[in-house]
Amino acid sequence: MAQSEVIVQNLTKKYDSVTAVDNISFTVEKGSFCVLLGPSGCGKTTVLKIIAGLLEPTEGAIFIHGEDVREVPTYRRNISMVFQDFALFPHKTVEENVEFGLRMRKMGEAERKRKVQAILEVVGISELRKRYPAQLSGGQQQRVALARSLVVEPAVLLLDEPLGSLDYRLQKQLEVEIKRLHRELKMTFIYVSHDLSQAFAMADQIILMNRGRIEQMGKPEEIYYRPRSVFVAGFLGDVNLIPVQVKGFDRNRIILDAGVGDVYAPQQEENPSPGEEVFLAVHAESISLEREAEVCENRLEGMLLEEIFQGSQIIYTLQLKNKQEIKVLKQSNSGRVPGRIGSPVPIGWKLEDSILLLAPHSKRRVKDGI
Amino acid sequence: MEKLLRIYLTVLILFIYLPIFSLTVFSFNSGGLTFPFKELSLEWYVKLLQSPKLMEAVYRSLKLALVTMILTTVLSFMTAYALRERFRGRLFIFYLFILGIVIPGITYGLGTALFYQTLGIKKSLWAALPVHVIWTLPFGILIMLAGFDPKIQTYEAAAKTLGGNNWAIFREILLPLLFPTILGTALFAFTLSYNESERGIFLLGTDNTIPAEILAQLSARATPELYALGTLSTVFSILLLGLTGWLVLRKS
Repeated sequence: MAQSEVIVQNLTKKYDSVTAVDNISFTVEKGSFCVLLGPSGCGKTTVLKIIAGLLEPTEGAIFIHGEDVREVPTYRRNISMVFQDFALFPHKTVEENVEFGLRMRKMGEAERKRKVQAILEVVGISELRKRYPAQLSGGQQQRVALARSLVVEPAVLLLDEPLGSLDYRLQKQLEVEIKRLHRELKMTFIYVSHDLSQAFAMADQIILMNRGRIEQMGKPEEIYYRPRSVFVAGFLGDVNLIPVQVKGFDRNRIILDAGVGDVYAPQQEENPSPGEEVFLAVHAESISLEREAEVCENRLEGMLLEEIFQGSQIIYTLQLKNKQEIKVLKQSNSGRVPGRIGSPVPIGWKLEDSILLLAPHSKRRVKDGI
Repeated sequence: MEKLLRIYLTVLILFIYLPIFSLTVFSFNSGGLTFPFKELSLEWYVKLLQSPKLMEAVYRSLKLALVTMILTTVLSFMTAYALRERFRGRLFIFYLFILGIVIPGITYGLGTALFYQTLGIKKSLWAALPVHVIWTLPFGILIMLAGFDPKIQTYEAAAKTLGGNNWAIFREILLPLLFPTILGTALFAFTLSYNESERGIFLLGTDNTIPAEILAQLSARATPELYALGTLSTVFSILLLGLTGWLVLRKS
C-alpha cells in the first residue's frame, strides 16, 4: 500500500454567493503524478491554491505528509509551485531566482551554488544563469521556473497549467521533460490542466472536475474507456453521445430506441427502467463501417458527410436519419472507405462497446470541454 | 484650425508660466520691484540669506516636510498593500482616506485649530504635522496603488511557495520592485508638505513655515527677498516633481 502524500477532505470554497469548489475529497499517493483536469472555471486552480495555502478554504481540510496544514502558512508547507505565467522575479538573474528558495531555507552558500548548478544542468539551462528573465524565451523561462521549484526538493510540487502560454510543439517537448523529471526525482506532482491529451500523457491519476465537483477520478485508461457521466464522455471529445430511450430487456442486453432503429447495451448492475431517457456513449474508434459493420450486434445506417485524412488516421463524419452526427476514427492503413460523400454507409459496433450513461447531469451534448 | 490651437496653447503656457518668469526676472533686478529693469544682481539673494526670519522659516518647513514625507511614505505603502485585498468595507476605507484631497484646506485647518483648542494642545510646528500627513497621504496612497502592479502579487505568491516569509518577501520582492514608486511617493509628499499653507497656518502659532511666513510678510509689503525665495522654491519643487514623475512613469 502506497503512502498518501496529499489528502484533500471535504474541501469547499465559496466566494460570496459563488461556490468555486463544492465538497470534494481525494488522495494523492506519494511519488505519483496527479492531474487536476477540467474546463476553465471548474475550480481546479482554486484547489491547487488551497493546497499551496495561497487561498483559505471555506470548509474542509488538507493533509500534506500526514500533517493537517490548516494553520500552517504557505512558506512552512513542504511544497513549491510552478505558475502559469512563470512568475520569475524580474529583478533577479536566473541563478538568483533558482537560489531564492534555498536562501529562504538558510542553506550555506557553497551548498547552494552546488545545488543550483546541478538543477540548472538537469533542466538544461546552465549557460543562461547570469541572464535576467526578460532576456529569455518562453521555453527557457519555463525551465527556470521548474528549476526554481524543484531545487528546494519539496514533498509536493504543484504545477498550475505550466505549459499554457507556450506554443504547441514546445508544449509537447516539455510534457515529455516534465514526465521524465517526475520519474527521476520521485516527487509527488499535482498538475492542473485543461488539456486532455496532456493529462493522458503524464498522469498516473486524473481528477476530472466540473463546476466545482469531481466528475470522475482514476487512471487515464479508466477515464477514457469507462466514462461515468455525459460530461466526462463529452470532455473526451472522441466519444459519440447518442440520446436513447430504454425499451426493454432481453437475455443479457438492454434494448434501446435510438430513434432510427434499436441498439443494445450490456445489462448493468442497476438497470434503468423502461421509458427512461439515457445516453449511449460509443468511442469513435470502436465504430466499424461497411462490411465490418454487418457482423456487429449494433447496426445503423448513416450517410457519409465528410472524410478528413490526417496522416496516420482518417476521421469520418456520418449522419443518421434523425440528423445525429456520428464520428468514426480509422487507421488510414486499414483500408479506406471509398469516398462516396452523400451515400449511405452501414455503421456498427459491438455490444461491449456500448457505454450506458445512466444519470446525465444535463441532456445537452456537452461541448464545453476542450 | 491647427493654427488656432497653436495660438491657444501658446497663450495657455504664457498664462501659466509668465508670473513665475516675472518673479524670477525681478528677483535678479537690483532696482527691486520697480520697472524698468535696472541691472542684474544677486543682491536680494544675499539679503534673503541674511534674513533670520525667512531662513528659520525655511528650516522649519524642511524639518516638517521631512517628517511628513517619512510618515506618508510608510503609511501609504501599508494602506495600498492592505487595499489590494478584497475585504468588507474596502471601498469605504479607500474613500475615507481620499477625502483628505477634497475637503477645503482652510476649513480643515480651522476645524483642527478649534479641535486642538478644546483638547488644550498648544500651537507649534509639530501641531501641524497630523494635518500635513492627512493632506499628503491620499496622494501617496494613489501613487502607491498605481505602483502595485497585479503581477507583483504573483511574485509574492511565488516567493511564499518557495519558503519566503512576509519579511523576506518585503525585503527581496516588494522593496526592490516598488523602489521607484516608494521614492516617488516620498518626493511628492515632501513637495506637497513644503508648499502647504492653508491647513497648517492656524496651527503653527509663532513657528511659521515658509509659506506662512511669506503670507505674513506679504500682508505688510512685498519685498524682493521674497521673489528670490520664490524663485528658489519653484526651481527646487520643479526638480523634485520632475524626479517623481520620472521615477513613477519610468516603468510604464
